[in-house]
Amino acid sequence: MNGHHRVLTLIPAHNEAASLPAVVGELRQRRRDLDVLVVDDGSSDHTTELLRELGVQWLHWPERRGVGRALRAGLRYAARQGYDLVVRLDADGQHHVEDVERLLVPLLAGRADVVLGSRFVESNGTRRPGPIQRSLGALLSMITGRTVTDPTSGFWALGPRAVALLAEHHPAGYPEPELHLFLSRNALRVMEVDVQSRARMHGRSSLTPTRLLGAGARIALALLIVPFRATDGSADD
Amino acid sequence: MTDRVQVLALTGSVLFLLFVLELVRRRRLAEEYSALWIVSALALIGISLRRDVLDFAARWMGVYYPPAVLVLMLVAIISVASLSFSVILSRQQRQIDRLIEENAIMAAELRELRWKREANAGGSAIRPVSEPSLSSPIATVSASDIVVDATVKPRNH
Repeated sequence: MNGHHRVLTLIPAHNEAASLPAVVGELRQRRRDLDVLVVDDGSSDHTTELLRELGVQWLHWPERRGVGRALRAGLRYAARQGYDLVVRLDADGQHHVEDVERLLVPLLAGRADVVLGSRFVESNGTRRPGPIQRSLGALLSMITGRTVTDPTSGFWALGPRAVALLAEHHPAGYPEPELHLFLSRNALRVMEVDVQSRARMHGRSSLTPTRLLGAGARIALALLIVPFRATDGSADD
Repeated sequence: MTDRVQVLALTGSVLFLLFVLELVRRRRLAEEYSALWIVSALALIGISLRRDVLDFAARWMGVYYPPAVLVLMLVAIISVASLSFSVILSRQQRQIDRLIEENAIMAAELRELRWKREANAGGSAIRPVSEPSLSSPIATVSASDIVVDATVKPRNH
């Protein structure tokens, strides 16, 4: 159904050797039409050795640089290789491969530049975001003028315009909330769709209280600064 | 009115200026980063020579103790220097980020080319499950493999 479009699945991974093979396997089984790029962000387990056996494309560097930079590099690769559409999902297996189609449909129909998978869309009332996510979502909704139900979602798809822009300027650090600000600042058409999520297969969430505090400070700064940046986010020098 | 403190201040400032210039001459300090230090050293020399400038500035600012203006000036110089270091650091971080990403992408492109070449040379058309070991040295070099010996300097004779 993707016609002439080239779609790249982007999976940032840091020490995900336990779950990565299953995620790639599921993609291979259900979506043979999608190419897969794993961005290995300085893993110290055997993720790096695994990449050779998985038969995927990959980027690798020896030191951890953060998921934001990993995504930016992956998007730059996608732009360079001529992919139109990019889907990002997590290496921990929390996202369902069958939901990829729901993310791609609005892009293929030209109705959006960015489709965000949300675990907490109003229509399905079974799951509820925690208090921090809810307040962050409310804050981002207020600033972007668009309902943000899942500010920390790591499951999204980008159309050509968003790929080109984010390949240069994807926020570094703890990027998901900052991404919302960037998208709204650059007038990209953003849409949320309902997606499932399941408990991660292995390991723990990277959101420790300390990280959350650091992320909060970064987001506060971004809230002040991003709205006043030049629209493509480039440095002024 | 030449007194001991003036001689000391002047000597110190001139030595500081000479030290900065010597660093530039030996290429230990890049010209572009030396401007701030040269200007600061010249300002210190100026004030050491003409203490009445300091007194005038103090009176103008409403400071009763002129040497406090000197301290204020030093704090300002150091603040500007620190801020400019942060700017330089950010720029270098951006450059390093870019290099790391370009390098990773180039390594991936090289890998793809090898796959394609092998496929064309009569191998299987699908991506091999394991690749020859020669295709990864660029991408897997770890930080500890790189030895940067800052003590070895090229010498001009």
